[in-house]
Amino acid sequence: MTAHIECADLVRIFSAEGVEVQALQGLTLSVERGELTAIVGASGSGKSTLLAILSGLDVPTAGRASVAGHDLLAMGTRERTLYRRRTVGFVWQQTARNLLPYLTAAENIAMTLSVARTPARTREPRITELLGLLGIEGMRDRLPAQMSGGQQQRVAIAVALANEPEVLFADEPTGELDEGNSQVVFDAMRAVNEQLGVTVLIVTHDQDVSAQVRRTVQIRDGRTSTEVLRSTRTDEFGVEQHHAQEYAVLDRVGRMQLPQEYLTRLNMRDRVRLELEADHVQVHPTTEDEQ
Amino acid sequence: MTRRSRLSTAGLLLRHLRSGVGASLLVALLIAASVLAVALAPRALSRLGTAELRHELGQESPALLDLTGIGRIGIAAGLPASASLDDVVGETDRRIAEIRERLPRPLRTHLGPVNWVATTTKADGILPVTLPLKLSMKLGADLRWRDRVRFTDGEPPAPWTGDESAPTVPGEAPAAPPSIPAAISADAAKQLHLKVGDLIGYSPAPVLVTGIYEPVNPDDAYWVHQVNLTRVTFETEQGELTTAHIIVYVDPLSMRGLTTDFQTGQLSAYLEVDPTGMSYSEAAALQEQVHQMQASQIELPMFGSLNFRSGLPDAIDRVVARVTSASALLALSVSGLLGVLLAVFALGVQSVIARRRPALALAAARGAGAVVLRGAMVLEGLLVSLPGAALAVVVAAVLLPGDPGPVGWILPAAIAVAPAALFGVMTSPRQLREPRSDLQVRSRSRVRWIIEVAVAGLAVLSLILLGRRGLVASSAAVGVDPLLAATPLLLAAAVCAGVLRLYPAPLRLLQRVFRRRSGPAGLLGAARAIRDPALGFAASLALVVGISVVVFTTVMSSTVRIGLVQGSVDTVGADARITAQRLDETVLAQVRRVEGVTAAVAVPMVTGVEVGIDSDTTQVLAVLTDTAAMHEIRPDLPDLSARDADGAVPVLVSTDWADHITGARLSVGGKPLLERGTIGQNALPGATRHFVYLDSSFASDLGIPVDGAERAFLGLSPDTDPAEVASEVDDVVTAAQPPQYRGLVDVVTARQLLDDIRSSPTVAAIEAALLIAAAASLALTMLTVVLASVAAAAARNRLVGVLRILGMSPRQLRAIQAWELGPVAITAVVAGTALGLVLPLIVTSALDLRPFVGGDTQPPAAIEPLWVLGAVGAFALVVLVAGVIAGILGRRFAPAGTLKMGEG
Repeated sequence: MTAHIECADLVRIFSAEGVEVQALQGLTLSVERGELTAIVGASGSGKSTLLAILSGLDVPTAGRASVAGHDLLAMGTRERTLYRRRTVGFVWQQTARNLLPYLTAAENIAMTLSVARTPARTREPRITELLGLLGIEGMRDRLPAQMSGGQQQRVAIAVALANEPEVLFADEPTGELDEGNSQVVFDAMRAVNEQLGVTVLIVTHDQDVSAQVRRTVQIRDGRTSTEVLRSTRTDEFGVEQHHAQEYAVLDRVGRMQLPQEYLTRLNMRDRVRLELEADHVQVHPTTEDEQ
Repeated sequence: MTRRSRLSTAGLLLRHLRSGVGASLLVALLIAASVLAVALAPRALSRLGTAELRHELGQESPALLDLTGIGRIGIAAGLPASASLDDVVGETDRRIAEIRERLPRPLRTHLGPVNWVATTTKADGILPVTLPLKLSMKLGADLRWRDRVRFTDGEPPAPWTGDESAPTVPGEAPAAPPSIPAAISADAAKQLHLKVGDLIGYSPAPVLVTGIYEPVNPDDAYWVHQVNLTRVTFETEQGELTTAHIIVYVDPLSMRGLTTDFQTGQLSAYLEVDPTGMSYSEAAALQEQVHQMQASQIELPMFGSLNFRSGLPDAIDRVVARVTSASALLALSVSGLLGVLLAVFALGVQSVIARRRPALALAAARGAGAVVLRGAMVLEGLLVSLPGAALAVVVAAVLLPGDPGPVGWILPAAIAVAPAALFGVMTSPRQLREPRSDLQVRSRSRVRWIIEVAVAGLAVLSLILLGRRGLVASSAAVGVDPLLAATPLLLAAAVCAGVLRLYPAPLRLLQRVFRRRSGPAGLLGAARAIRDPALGFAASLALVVGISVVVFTTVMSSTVRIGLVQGSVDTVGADARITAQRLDETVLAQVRRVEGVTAAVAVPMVTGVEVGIDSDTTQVLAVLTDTAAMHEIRPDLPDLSARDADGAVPVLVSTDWADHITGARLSVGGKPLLERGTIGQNALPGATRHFVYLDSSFASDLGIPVDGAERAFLGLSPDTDPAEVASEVDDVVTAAQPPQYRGLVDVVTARQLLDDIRSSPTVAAIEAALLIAAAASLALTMLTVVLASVAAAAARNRLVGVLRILGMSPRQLRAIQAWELGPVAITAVVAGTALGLVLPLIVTSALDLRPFVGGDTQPPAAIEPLWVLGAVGAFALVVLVAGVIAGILGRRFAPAGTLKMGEG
């Protein structure tokens, strides 16, 4: 079975006035159905470009990408429109990009339902259901300007979920929120993931957020570099133990990135020496003679 | 603070449309104004044509304009003495009366009833009193003449009882026929010393004056058509006695006995043309119908007939020429304005789309397809434009009722649906993401390159076509010459595209200069102007076209004003001209004494002067005058009073003749002439195409007989009332003429003629339209600058916010704002002024303005530096004021807020 979100050797190059910027340089990523994954990375590492491609707003220069069975490189205009309408939903960092300022919460959701040609009579129950799911029933008839940042983002999630998407993308959904509100919004997304089984991919800077998801993918220089998998085990004393293990990502042809911290500490550069052991590979810094 | 949410699609759409309604209202207002303008223009043009038609035809003499039929009357010969008037000409009268009824509409509706007069052939009469003149007399018969006259003496004549065709008894001397009773006009009685009871010797019988009459209504066109029924006219041929021409009325029943005389005489009929109800749209039909009438002969009983003629088609031709010339000029001014309007339009549409972009982007991201997005924008476009446009059309129809023709409906409709179409076309789902204009200095868009090259190519092509076509009147069929109207706009667009491509070059130079200096404003301003200009193509186009329209209308105003003055001077020949039968030195000396007359020069013209051309000779007209005095009045004509060094007589040769005699040796009576130059063949009114112009002092030496002049040119001092001087000169000249020539004196002044021309509706319309075009152009330019600057306010305020944090002073910030407008405005002023100065040159070489300004010379483009400077100054001031207004409006957006809101 193929993964729900599958990217292989994804490349995206922006060019202007003879200058080329490689935002993605052969990124590979695989997310299973129903997974909640965080993508972290420094500014300019290519996170937002990846999300724009996955949400069907941008097209990669090369590589393969598919979401819920849709080949993102081969989609025509019509399929792309339907893909945005039915398959994916997303939440951006700025409220202005999520909600129309002159529509109330209910109207913003209704607008999305209207785009998908949902009959007018079924809109009302769906809106009530979504607002209830996200715990913002009271915001129904308020304009975005009359809500707090956290409330706005929860309305944005409701809007994104309006047409029952299989995948929810979120680009820094808590970027403009304080700690309390961030937690509320993240909890809402986790609830959506757990209760509705929607695959969720969050791009974030927020350590608190990334620390709460099972899988965190780190992007560096347009490639996935490491992954952290978290698990919870109950020890022999009945106490919950949280484990976090960092993994390097190996691509199809066997390339991997060593964490920057390792390189600095062991003064590794240019060349390293590999030694194959029975069950692992050793990486050694080269001596001055070898240099 | 909540509101009821609307969940239906229509409700949502309504909410969407109601947001940011200000920009939409501005576009709606702009559309309503544009629709009003294009709905009014054809109506105004049609009314202008009608006004001009009525004005021009109203000034024409009825003798020229009326449908005048000439032919012969048919009367049955040998009618008994008991035959009634109806037996004689009853059928003819009925047939003539039917002529009008048989004419088609619209011609018939503008004609009065048919009037007719039958006259005998003219024959010499012998006056009872001896006078130094010959009498040439006709008998006239009109069935309705008694209604037209009132008797001042005597009584109406009785029918003639004689019969010219009575058989003579062989061997017997024919009995003397009875005299023919007749009535004569009061003028004839006075001039020819006739009274009731006088007998005028005439054939076939003497004429007995039974009554003297005067017209009931002397202004009736009837008397113009039959001048000699009310006035004596005199005719003089050299070396012969003066002939006096009169027509006397006989009773219509007298035709019974004078069958042959009347049948060999003339039947005149006329239908009065009343131009007061004519409309310009009928002009072509009227011409066609008159032509048809002229082409066919009207048959009358007893082999009578009438052939009609009228000057109406020619007069209509002149009106059409003038109206098309005027409308072409109007179209030119409006074409430029339309360019500015389109640019403002594009700005307005862009601003609405920019406002809608976030909402459309969001809807697109949520899966709204292109059809839905475009549909929403098209709907908005229709809602914005249709109500205002409909209202504007209604207002136009109320203001200027009448049928504006298809153009009057199509143009407003096109403008009304244009925003909806533009909204739909310009909403591309692909372009909904925020554009980054600063990444590329020049547009790399291939489409833009192709469009710019196409526009430049079309501009060059239209110039070549215009040049090849030469000077022609505007196309009468279309009304407005599309080629001529499109050329200025194409040129403006091409110049604007070129300017936008080239103007970063000098700015880069400036940027390099400012880089070396310490102040940041210049460097930053220049860099922004190059990389992220606040005013895009549409705004720059509006500025370039705006200034070019202002300069163009200024130059055209000068051209028309000077052209009108020159045209009237050309037509008159000088400040004033006298035409009279005899103008000798004594009369002219009296004329010179009239206050306001600075000079009076007789212009004798001698026909048939033999001029030797090498070994050949030809006969031409010689215009002999005091050339030194003439030079004072007409500086364009040189003083030719001094002989050449070789003793040759200096002359000017008319241009048309000069082409035939290039390089030939000229002589008169064996004396050599020296061709000093040429003179325009229309430079001297009254001269023929081939003539020589020389000083009168050489006349006797060359053996040219000068026998007085019929024309004299006058110089007038500028501060006198021309009408007053003309009337005084008329009095002086008339008093000096022999009695019979007194009615032939005519004094015209150029200024009176100019006033006449100026009173014509088209001239007034053009003068007003040029002014309106300039004012509208200034207003639209102001709107453009404000719109474009306000649209750029958000970006500017972000920058200002950052710069304030960096510690820039308010003065430096103002300088940066000035840099937004300055470079574009200065470039636009330079390019637009150049364009505005070139356009009149193109217009005057492509559009025949002569029917409009009068005269025979096409007026050259008149560039008056002070006026042009004033126009450019006014434009610069308007841009400056607009910039200040935009600055004040822009400050409403607090920079801190703009910064916090981020890119949005």
